[in-house]
Amino acid sequence: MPRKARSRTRAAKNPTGQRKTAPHRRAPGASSLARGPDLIELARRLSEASGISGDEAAVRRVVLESLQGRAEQVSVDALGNVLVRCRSSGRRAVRVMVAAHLDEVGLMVVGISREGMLRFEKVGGVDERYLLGKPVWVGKDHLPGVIGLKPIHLWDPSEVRKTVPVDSLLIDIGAASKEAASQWTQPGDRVAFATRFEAHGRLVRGKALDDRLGVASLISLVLDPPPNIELLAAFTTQEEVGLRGARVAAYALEPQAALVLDTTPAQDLPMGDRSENTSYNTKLGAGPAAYLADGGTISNRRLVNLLAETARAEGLPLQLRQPGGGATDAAAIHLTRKGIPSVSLSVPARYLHTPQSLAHLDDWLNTLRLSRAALARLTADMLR
Amino acid sequence: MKALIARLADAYGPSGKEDNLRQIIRAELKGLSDYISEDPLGNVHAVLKQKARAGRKIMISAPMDEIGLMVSYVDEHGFARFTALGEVDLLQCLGARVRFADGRVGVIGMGDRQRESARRSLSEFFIDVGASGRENHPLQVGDTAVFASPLAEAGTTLIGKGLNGRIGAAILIETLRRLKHSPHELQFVFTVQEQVGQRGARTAAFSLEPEIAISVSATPSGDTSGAARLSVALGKGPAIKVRDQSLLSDPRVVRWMVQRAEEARLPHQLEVSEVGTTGAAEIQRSRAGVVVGCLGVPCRYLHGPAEMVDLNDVENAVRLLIQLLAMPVPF
Repeated sequence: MPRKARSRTRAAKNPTGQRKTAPHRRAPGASSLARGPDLIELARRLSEASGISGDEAAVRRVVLESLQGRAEQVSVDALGNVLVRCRSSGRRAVRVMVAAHLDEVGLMVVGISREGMLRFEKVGGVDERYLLGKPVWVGKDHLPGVIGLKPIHLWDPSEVRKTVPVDSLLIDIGAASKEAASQWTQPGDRVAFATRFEAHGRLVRGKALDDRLGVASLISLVLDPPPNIELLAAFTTQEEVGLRGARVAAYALEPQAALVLDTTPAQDLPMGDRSENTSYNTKLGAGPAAYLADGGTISNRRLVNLLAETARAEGLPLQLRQPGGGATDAAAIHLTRKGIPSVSLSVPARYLHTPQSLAHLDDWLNTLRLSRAALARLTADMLR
Repeated sequence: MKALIARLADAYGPSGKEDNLRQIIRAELKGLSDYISEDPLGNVHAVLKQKARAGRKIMISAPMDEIGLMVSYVDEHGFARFTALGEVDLLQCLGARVRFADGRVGVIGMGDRQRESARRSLSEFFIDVGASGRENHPLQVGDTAVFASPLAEAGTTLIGKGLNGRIGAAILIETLRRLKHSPHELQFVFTVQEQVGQRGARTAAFSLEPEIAISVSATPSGDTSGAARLSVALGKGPAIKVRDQSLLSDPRVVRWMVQRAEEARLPHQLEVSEVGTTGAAEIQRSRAGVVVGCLGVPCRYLHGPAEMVDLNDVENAVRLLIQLLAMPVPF
């Protein structure tokens, strides 16, 4: 049976009943995006764009449009990384790669059942505990769906409390049969959580804050580059599935140092039994989090010191992410070619890798402020 | 050579903080090579430029770092929770004495309740430095401790911490000292961050672009009662690695090593292991690929506070390495 024309779905409404405006149709204002409201609007567009690992096109579009006409050497490489080379005024400026990843974790359709329900797999480390009942957008046209249970599965009351494995979940797009469903979607279509971005007071809530907050910060840095350095911006792809974009981006850019802007879990809620929470990782509201060592990188100590001293001098908060576990693009970058001194600076956030994450606006803005100030103070002898 | 090994083994140098080792090694290498340099990650390169036209570019590497225990949290009782930089044997941790960069000493402890359970994880351990609470605590997040276990002799064996890397570094230095002549360009590399994933070896190989590489370090032995099925034993000579978890040594290199050992009548053994990995695996995959092999010094009780090697194996490793480097490569 022939597929229905794709244009039919463009008129579809999103789950809240509002007509969805495709993000790429709106262009950013001419004024600098470093101003408060514009930056949040940029974060909204980035967060609501679907860019699951390997298919970051929609996010890339937002980035490219934001930089249009306002950054010189912009290129897109074989893996879809957006690379920007900003010329610096100083002759002896340090070449610094600043990276933020474009992709988010999500799901992918792997098959369609006879009943028209979609079987799916995870792309990246999605937290399975948060899947049941969630609204999703299927494919490029954001077909609305809901994650439900396998209908023929018999549930024991005791099993209801356990986490339902992905194999027992299905995405329901309201199709009556496999044929009907096949007209709207096919295996390989990526599925994103249907989450609107909200900024309210000091709170920011949305999907893919990991790492759209980093991407927004990096766009801001490119549009108003810190003095004294040669900024090499890399909007990387496929971080969530193995830091793949960063590896080739670092190889191409050949920087002398690298700063990675990402997000990191804040597991700072109180323990159920009132015991001490010894592995909070970071705390929401305590400021940008500098990495000493994670599972993939031992940060260059002098770059960590640079962040600490800059925070002190500028009166900005800074916390240390607890060492151990996890990894950022820095793990791939710092071992590229002859080695690149690197450090990561992340925005603390709760519920990462779930349909909705939570972050403090101040933590995010301070991460951007601290990055900018620290980069401006970076000198070559810090790397010797 | 015992004094050199003691100087290296006793030095404080966890992964990422190898400054002391760099200092000691550079002092030892003075005047022994054509040039010494350090790369962005902190590896130390000592290179002897090529002499003969038929000579090859050979990299010989050994790690400088040791397992580190990095403080991740100071709890309300003054106990410091930590994460491990590198692979640490939990069983050997309990009750071990540790030392921080400034010399401060502590003990690794565990709550009595947790000790009952058979299953242990690092999150249940803590370092006790005798503080009574969180107020004015001498430690902060990021401070890193190493095992505190000065080098000791027992018969022909040496017992100490950090031997995993340092024994290789000692062998390299001693080889460089005794080597009178070589037809090859020799790149002696002392690598960083071996314990956390052979990271230094990867970038060093990219920088130096060797044709052939030999990595030298301690290797697990299988000669204690009830040990896993490993053929390597203390006192039987340096171990020529055929394979491990991530490396299949080039058979030509294995044959070359065996040949030189037999010619010089040096004790040696072949190592076939299913576990473990060394910098050689990273080097083999560098750029367009490198021909690699591995020389190991059999070692008991690896990844703990008191590792043990046989001094004769160390001495014979030096002799074998000299044989390999002083003569042409037969392939």
